[in-house]
Amino acid sequence: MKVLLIEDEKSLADSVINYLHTSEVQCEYAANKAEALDKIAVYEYDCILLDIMLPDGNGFEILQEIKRQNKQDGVILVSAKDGVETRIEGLNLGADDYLTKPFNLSELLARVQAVIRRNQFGGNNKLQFNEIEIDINAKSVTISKVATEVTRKEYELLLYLVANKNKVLSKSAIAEHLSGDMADSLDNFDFIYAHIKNLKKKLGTAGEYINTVYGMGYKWHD
Amino acid sequence: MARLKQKLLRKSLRPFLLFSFLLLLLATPIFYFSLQELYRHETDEILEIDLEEFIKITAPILKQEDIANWNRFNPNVQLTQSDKNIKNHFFTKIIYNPLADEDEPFRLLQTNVSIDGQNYLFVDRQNLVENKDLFVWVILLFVFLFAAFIVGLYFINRRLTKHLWQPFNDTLEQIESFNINEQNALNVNDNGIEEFARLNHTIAKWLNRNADIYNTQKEFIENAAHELQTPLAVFKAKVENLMQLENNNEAQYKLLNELNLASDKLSKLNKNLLLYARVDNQQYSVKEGVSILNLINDRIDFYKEQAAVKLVDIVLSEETKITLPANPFMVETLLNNLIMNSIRHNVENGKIEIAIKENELIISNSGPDKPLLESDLYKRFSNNQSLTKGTGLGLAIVKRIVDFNNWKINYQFLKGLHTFSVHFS
Repeated sequence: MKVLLIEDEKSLADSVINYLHTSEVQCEYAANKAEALDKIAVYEYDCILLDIMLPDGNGFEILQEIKRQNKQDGVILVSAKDGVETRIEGLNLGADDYLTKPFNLSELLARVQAVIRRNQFGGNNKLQFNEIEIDINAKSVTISKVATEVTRKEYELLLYLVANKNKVLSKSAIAEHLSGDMADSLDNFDFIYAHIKNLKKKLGTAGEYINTVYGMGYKWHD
Repeated sequence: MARLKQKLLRKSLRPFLLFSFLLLLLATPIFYFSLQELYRHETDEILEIDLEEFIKITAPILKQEDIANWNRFNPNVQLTQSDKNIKNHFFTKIIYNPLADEDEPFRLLQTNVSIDGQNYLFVDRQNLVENKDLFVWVILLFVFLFAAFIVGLYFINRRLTKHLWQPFNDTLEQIESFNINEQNALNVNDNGIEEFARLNHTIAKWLNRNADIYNTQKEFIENAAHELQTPLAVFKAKVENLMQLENNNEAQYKLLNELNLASDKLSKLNKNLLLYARVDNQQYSVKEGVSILNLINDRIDFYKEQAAVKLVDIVLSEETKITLPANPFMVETLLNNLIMNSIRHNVENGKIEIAIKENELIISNSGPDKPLLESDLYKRFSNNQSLTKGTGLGLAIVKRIVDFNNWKINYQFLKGLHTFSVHFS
């Protein structure tokens, strides 16, 4: 997977690159609009992480340029602006997703993978992890070819854990991911215990991939 | 408003009417007596002229034997022989008038005259009756004119006052309905009166300054919150990077967990500050029909899941389908903050009741067994918030949304239940 990160805050960019790198995502970096346009013109990316506010221009302009060049790269807008208007404008211009700063790196990785899966696999979108097969379109799970009933929340949790395999996930990051739009209203993450417990049980022996990390959160271990 | 106008009118009219009345009371007798005095004086002059005429024309040709005849034909000028020495004595006396068959006041002049070498007492008299009737008429006319004058002035003053104060009342009305969120300019008329022009000018200046301060403050909060986003994002990302290090031990994870919670709280606080500053922004002024019931139903699973951790039960007791002309995002925020509050401040095994009525939303929850202090309820950061609790802005944002839409919010503590009710108008 090849990702282009367009972000003027070097320190934040380092963190993102560091996180994605350890997840086998090759991440290139552009600090401004000019650099970004150069890279986009020459290379193909699976996904472009695009900051809206750049020192020499606007992320929307880059997005328009990508669309003008008929590039198939997935685009995730990243912005400090969380206004509904900005979000809608970005999505109307053809962005695949929108993320507001500050964000969880685990959330970013999960979104990147989702966008790439959507763009590349389309109709036959399945994620395999050892004996576990997750059908993205059908939102169903099979373990060693045996269909396993999971709730919507458990399915999302599983996908999130697998997407961030070998990463420590904080309870708050998991809770926010499961709460979607409501994440900002959360102040109690305890509800995820029940989901983790149930998912573990349903996965049977595969449930052992889920490890607890000292009161911090959870980790999917391969 | 009407009461104030009358009060002002009465205040200006009362001393004026009182003065007029006292003047009338005082002026009438003075007028009466001076008129009478004037008339007596005039009568005396007539008597003097009579006397002069008598001395100059009649006396030199009058003989002693004519006196009896004179007295017979001049009842008003009588001559009697006298040794008394009286010189120009004027006085008033009531004398019986056989013609009118009544006692009438007369003005008399006594003086000594010499006729045909003999000393005589000359007594001339003038009836004052006609003069008195005249007085009465003059006084009546005077009183009538005065009364007409007062009544006229009363009405003119009333009309004038109403008219004069009209611009003042207009201005007052506009100040009363001034809303800092809308910041509509003062639209007033001063009727070309300098004082009102000054008043309006000062008020407009004052309102503008307030609006400026308000806008600057809002902008500041917005900018500050915005500027914080990037360092916050960096902080949060670094903590997440740290979490991934291979050889973290339990103590380090504990520290990281706390750092993580603090950064979450910071970003939530920041988002709420932005929201608080933006409630009256243009972007949220777009109104559409918002169904409260639909919004709650969309989120009820989330709320129930959050409540379940504390074994709190959420019941929708009334489900009236009402549609509000409002911004959906604002209504979502209002519902979210109120319901999340009712969960956050609830007790184990507690309950929450949500009732959507025709014109009202009522959310009541069990909680601490004492009422909240209403005066601090909607203030920013009024209660001490721990790391895992709310941001201290939830109810302040709710209040702003309620105010912005001209709704009303009430808090009550009844039978152990904390109840918030929002009245939609």
